[in-house]
Amino acid sequence: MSKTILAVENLKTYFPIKGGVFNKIRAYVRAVDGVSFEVQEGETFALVGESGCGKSTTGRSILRLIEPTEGKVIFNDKDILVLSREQLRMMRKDMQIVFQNPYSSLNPRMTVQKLLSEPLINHFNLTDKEVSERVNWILDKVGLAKQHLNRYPHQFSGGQRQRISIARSIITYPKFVIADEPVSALDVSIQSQILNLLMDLQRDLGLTMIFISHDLNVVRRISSRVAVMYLGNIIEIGTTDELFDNPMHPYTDALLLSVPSLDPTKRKKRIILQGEVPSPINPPTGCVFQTRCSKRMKICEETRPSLKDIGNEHKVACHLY
Amino acid sequence: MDNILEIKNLGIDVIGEKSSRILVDNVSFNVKKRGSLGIVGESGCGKSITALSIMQLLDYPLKQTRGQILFEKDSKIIDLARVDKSYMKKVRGKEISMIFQEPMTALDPIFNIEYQIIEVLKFHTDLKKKDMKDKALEMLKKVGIPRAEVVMKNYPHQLSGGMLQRIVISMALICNPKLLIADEPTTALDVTIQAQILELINELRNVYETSVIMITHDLGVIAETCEDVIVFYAGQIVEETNVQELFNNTKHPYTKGLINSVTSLGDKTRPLYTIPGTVPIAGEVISGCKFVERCDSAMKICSIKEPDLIEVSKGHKCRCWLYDGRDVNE
Repeated sequence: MSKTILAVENLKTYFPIKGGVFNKIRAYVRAVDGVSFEVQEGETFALVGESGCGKSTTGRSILRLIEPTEGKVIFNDKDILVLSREQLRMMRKDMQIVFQNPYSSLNPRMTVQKLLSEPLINHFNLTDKEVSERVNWILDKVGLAKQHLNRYPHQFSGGQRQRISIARSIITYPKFVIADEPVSALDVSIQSQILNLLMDLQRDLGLTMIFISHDLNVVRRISSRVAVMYLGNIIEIGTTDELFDNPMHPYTDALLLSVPSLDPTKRKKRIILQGEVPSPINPPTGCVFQTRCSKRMKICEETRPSLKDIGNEHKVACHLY
Repeated sequence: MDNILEIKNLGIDVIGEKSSRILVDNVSFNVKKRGSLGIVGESGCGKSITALSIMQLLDYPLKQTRGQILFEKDSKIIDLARVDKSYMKKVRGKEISMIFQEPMTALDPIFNIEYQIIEVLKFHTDLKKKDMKDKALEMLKKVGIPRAEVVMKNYPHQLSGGMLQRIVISMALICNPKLLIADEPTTALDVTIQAQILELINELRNVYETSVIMITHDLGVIAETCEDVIVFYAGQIVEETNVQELFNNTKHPYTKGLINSVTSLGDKTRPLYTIPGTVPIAGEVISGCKFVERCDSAMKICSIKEPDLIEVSKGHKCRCWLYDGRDVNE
């Protein structure tokens, strides 16, 4: 039985909206509204959803890049959210993140050499020789060459920059990495190179990964378990095969059907979701999805469904079940 | 002319002080009346500037230096590359319209929606002010905007990406153009909204009998919406055929690679298919076939001589030495 490396319990991240003469808090954007899940050691756990559903905020709240409002994040039996700044800094080397846009996540004034050795110098007490050994090792791991060391980020293509970002995150031997849409900014032919790299690294280094993405095809390939988010809530969670073959929540169903198929003969009138995602400032009462749901019942408008286990490690938050 | 638009030997250069570089080289294609043509390619392949050149929106340092853009207007064939600016103004928005990738930046933030839609009508029609308003309202309802009366008075920042893209589409179609160019219309949108917008474009295409050029990097969008497809790589057409043929009888190694990198996502037993190397920088000079360095079936000739775009079967063209009947070892 694998060990739970990360447990998120009832995580809430609200952003205040201030205004008026005294800058009083008028309302909250409920970006993440009570999310709970567990990640097992060595697995890839995916968070999927549309823009604004809170998947990135969840990722950043776990690392405290954004301070959550409420909840617990237990990493290796320690609650991250109560750590002091110094303690948190010590934890950083074990928990890293890869950002979406490699064009803005690398400092343009640093060479690759500097970019890669910076985390080592911050977290470890290494000699220059050890640092350069580690840098060379990681270069080889991510498929870059030694002659790249003295170049600046603008001299690289998007795919190569993402390799540098990945190298920078895993050079501290983290146990756990959050990859926040790591391939969305890349061309189709480059995407698969980066995905292969991530999968190889995960296997070789035994990484645990949270993979945040809106691309269902990619998620299906790379992850072992998936949580579907909608308006700050997890509405369905399960193993990848189970969730894709047997989606239970009407939203998951619609999401899967919205993905264009590559077979032109299979063009179909799809069940298309009407309307748009409601505002997280003023989420609907009852079920968050009720305003767009085709199977809405009376109860959906009144009480919010909680995640129910329907067997096979599959949980769904819907009154239908 | 059976076609609404015929592009012949189009060439676009980026003009430098000392030398110029070729961005689009010798591109020819046709758009059938009421047809839908998809253009696929990765960033920097020249698909967007080809569209901009049809609209005559290229700006220094980009310049169309070769070729013709033949468009049928009032049963006369005109070359859009040769007409003056004032004539082109009457074509844009009335005869040919364009939808851009980012609906958030396509609209002017300081005017409300009503003003921006009516601006199109003011320019192209002699309608009375009240009729213009009615027409704008009717159009907003057609593209599926709820509470259209309220939305008319809204400013762009008050609306979501999906709504804005609907508004941009309504502006593009309000004068009933013969040709609609959609440049990555759904790339900035979520999948469920993408499905809505693609459905809307398909529906309106039938209602208005408009021809569509759909520019995208997403093969899924092509499979859903287009009849004919051309594949761009490094400023050239590498494959041209209808959509069934493209997916069922793929010829060019680059197209195969693109399709494989998407379909191999579904097979967990093998590593993901990858096209090695990177997309060439726009205008990069490569001798021989532009794809040779990334191609897994490259031969000796590929790096020496550039292949021609030849017809491999009826209606299916491909630029690759694998399908060239000539003796390649000459």
